[in-house]
Amino acid sequence: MNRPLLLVEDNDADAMSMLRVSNSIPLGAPIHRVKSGEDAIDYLLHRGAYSDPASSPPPLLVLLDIHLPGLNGLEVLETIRSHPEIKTTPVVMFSSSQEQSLVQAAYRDGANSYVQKPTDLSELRKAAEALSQFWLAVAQLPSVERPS
Amino acid sequence: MNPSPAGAVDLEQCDREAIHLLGGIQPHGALLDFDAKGAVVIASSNTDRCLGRSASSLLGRPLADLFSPSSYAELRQALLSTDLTRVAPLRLETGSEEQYRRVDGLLHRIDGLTVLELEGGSGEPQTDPFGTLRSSLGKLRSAANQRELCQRAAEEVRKLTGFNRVMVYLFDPDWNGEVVGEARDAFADSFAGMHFPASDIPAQARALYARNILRLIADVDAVPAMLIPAQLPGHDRPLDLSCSALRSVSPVHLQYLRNMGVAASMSISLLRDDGQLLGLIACHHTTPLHVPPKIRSLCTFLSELLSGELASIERRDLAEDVAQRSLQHTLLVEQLSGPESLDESLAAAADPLLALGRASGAALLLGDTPICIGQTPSAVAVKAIASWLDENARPELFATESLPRIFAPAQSFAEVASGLLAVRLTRRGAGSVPGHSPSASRYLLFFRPERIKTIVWAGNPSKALAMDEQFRLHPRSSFAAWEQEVRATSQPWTEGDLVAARALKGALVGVVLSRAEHLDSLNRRLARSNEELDAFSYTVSHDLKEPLRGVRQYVDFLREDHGEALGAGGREKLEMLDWLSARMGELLEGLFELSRVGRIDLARAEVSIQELVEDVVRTLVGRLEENRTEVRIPRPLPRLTCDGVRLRQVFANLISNGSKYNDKEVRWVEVGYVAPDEPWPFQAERPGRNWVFYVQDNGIGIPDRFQSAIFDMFRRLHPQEKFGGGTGAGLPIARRIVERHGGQLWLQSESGIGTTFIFTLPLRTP
Repeated sequence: MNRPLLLVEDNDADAMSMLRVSNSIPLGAPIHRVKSGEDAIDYLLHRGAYSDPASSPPPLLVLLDIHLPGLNGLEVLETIRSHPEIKTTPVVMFSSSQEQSLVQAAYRDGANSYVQKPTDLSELRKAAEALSQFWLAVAQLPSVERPS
Repeated sequence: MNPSPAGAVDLEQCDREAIHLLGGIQPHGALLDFDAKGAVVIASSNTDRCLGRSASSLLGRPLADLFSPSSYAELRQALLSTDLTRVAPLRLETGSEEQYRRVDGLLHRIDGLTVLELEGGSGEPQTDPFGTLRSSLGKLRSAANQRELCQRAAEEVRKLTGFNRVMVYLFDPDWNGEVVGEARDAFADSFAGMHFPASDIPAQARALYARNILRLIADVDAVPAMLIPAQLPGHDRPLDLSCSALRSVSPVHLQYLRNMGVAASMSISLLRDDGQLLGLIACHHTTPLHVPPKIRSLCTFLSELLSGELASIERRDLAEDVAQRSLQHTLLVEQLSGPESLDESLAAAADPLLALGRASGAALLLGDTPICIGQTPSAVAVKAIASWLDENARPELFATESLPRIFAPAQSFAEVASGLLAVRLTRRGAGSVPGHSPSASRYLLFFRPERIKTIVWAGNPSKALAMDEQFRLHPRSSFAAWEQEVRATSQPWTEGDLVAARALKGALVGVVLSRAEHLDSLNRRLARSNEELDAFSYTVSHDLKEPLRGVRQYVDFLREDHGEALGAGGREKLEMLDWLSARMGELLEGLFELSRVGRIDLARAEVSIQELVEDVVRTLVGRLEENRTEVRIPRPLPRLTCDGVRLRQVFANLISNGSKYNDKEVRWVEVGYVAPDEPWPFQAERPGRNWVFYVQDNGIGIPDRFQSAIFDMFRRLHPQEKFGGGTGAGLPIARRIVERHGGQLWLQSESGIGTTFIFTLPLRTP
């Protein structure tokens, strides 16, 4: 089972930047992008389009944008933390905003870190490398227990 | 001439001379003083003349022995009256049964005794007193104004009494008298229109005039008849003669009359309703003249009539005046209530305003800059007048016809403002704004120009009393017209002026209040629209940032994917595109931050400003080292309640500015404070008692003309590439943060030397 990084990002340019970065440097996991918070929850809970568990392997890490249409990032985070089977999933908030109130809210609601999206590619590359270095190489991640 | 041993008095005693205790009477009548049992206790030394018995033989005798039975009965009847002054002169028969003599008797009570003053029978007056009175009444009633009324009164009194000269004399507020009406024959000089100085009738004489309505001096050269015994039995003073018609006369006054060429005089007081002396009817005769009591009481009646008529004319004039001005008042209030600014509407209402105050200039002082209308002193002088009024705690309504006399600086503008009528609209300190110095009182000032006036005095008033070679005092000997030119004096303010001013105050306060209300609602609307603007800027700047990020990202994609194909020229243009969008991003970020500072709630907590600034310096250390800038903190900064996160932004901005806009070899930035109770080291006026922080640098300084513009959003004073760039959003944001805290931020700077940014934080802890 090739567990991906789940990128929740509505903005195509941001998503494309991330995919670009992942193509140019080895992140150690493939990126799976969904475009909305609803899709992210469906993916994690194997619902709707993701009802086949094989098509939605549990992600190693969720990269979660805050400004999303529909369910916003913080609401998605709240949902993840409230479902026992997925609540341990590491979530990195990924936002263009550096507003302190958002940062506070994210950590309060159980984000594992908060990263400001860099604007240009080289900065993004650095950030992505650091993220993969920490989360995929240094950190010990919780194992996934399949709901029976 | 010095007819009495008391003729010489010194100057200090003049105003205090005990005129009512002189102990003698004029010899044209006799005085008897008797006790409750009717026994004579005191008699004047001249009783032989009208009673045919010596004073000493009368002492202890019952009154019944002195008068015919019918006269005695009349006397006893009169004594039943509680107010003896209201009893008409009695016609009494005295002497022995064989040959009764008729005398006029006047009664009054004093010192626990009853005084009977007798004047030699003068026979019935030639004219029918009631006929005379009726015709006098008609003449007085039909007078058009006070002057005419006084003139007619003088004529009527002269007709009744036969004095050579009768003058009606009215006092001004300083007790100088002016001769307003005069009737005379060829033997008397005219004093019409002349002024008599206040010292002519000293205060204690005025008090007596107010008590004794009529006073006759029948012969200035008569030797007074003394009272026997001289002292009031059981007291160590003479009988109080203040209510006596015959009371002898102060030697100074006698001398005054002689100097005027007068041998007999009579004065009748004119009193206001409140008992204040309004004026006098003064009668003079060149030879001794005895006016019998009956005529005198007619004169008294006439004087009361005159006083009443004077007051009613005054009231009528005032009412007419007030009615006349009410039109101007209405016009003015209408004008001022219009939608125009107060300046504009006052300028438009100049005519009714000046007409209302009968003034040639007016100034309205509501704020710092007076609104001047017509001919006024300069704005600075107007403010000086207002401060002087405040400092001297003048009443709410204050009028003077000679401002230069009491306020020396006004001498320089006496021409336009000799007369001042000041109406205080609000008291100093009322309605002051926290954090601002208390507001000055608000005033409406009316000005009247100098009117050089010539006063004709009856003799030189400054020589009212003169010392002779033996240091004895004499009233002035010359009553020849003496002209005095009075400068720095305006037309006096009348009761009507004061009434109009008081009414105007009410109206103006109303207008100002309704304007304040209007302003208040404008402010609320402005605040709301500011909030909306903030919300709008916040949303717009936030929403624009997203697509702009996309633009930059696609520039990156383009460069990565097609950089080779674009060639050097294409790549250069891409660089420019990237730079421009980055710049736009910064501007949006600045706008976003500024609008955010206006919207967020401050998170106030107690903060160590020292730690906060140290932290800021740590954050900026890279840039500070790069600029070789030393940050000095001369003494530890205090702990305060504020929003630390926001205040960090302020210090970060000011410190980095100080280091950035600096061309010195050795650069420094100093951060310090002034505690609320410490002396004030800065140029601008201290805005209230509060904490003050400053960030001072030795940088390039800011020329005066830019010192205000620098706080405009995105305003930069230097080209982009100089001094490391910037968006020009930092200072507006810093100022806004300080203002959100209730403080103020400003700067003082000298080009080339350096700049000091100063900001205050209010004392209050929320």
